Amino acid sequence: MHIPDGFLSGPVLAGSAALSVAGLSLALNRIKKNFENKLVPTMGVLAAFIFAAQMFNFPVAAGTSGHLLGGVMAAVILGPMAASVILMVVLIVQSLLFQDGGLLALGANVFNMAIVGTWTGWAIYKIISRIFKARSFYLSGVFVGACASVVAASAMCSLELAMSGVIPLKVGLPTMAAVHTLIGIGEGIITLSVISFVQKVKPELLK
Amino acid sequence: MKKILTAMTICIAIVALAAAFASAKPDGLEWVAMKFGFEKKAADASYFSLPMPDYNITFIHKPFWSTFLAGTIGAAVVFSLVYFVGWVVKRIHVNSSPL
Repeated sequence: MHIPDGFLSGPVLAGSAALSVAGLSLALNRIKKNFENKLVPTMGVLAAFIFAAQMFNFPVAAGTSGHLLGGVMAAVILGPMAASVILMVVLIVQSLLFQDGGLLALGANVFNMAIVGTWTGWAIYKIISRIFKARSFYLSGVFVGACASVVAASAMCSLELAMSGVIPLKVGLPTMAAVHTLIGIGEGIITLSVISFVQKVKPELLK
Repeated sequence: MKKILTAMTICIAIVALAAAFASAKPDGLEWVAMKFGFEKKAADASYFSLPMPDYNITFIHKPFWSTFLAGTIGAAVVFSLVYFVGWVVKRIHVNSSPL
């Protein structure tokens, strides 16, 4: 759901950019120790992986496609703060190098996907996977959290579109949420597969 | 080092798969935009000429190779930018620590 330039109004662009700067400053401050540890290669690889995976659109119902967001996947492995930073890097490269997502809209895209989507999905994952210690709860937490991240990001996007006068919320929100729930199921499946695989091969996950 | 190379190879493999098989259908937002008629608001953002618009290298005429090369460059840039961000954060952190 990379918003191109031309959709959002000036105040919405500015406001979401400001919120992104605030959120990412917080995230970078929290993870500065990461950069002194051996976590930079993991972050770099995860970022490249998410970038590559986001190129792979899969068909979703008739006429639409979706792609991985990757926020919850990164958050389960590295925590929500590092995940935001990783997503931010991916979004910056996508916008500046490939025109995927507007330049002025970069703040909004970062806010929607790297912050709102990622942190909401991670919170839901944490809540569900903490209810019981059984592995099935952990895995369902991963799935639901990942799905929720996509829906949450799309909801924030709908809000921005409504505030920009592009489409009223009561029309835009249900439509966006419905499409992105389907995409979210794909996100859930992919995230779950990756996390299950990592758990078996290298269980250094953030529980 | 070897692990990084293995992982990056996997990333490049995913780029190749994307270049070959990715769906060309509009994504969720584009679909909603088309359904409600606001897709034309998307400006032709030519603030500056971007090198690889929409994951295509303009002078490579085979679509698979154009997308594959663009994606590989992108993955490498993303990977490097993470390191760069880390370097900047470390510099700021070191410079502002009370020593």
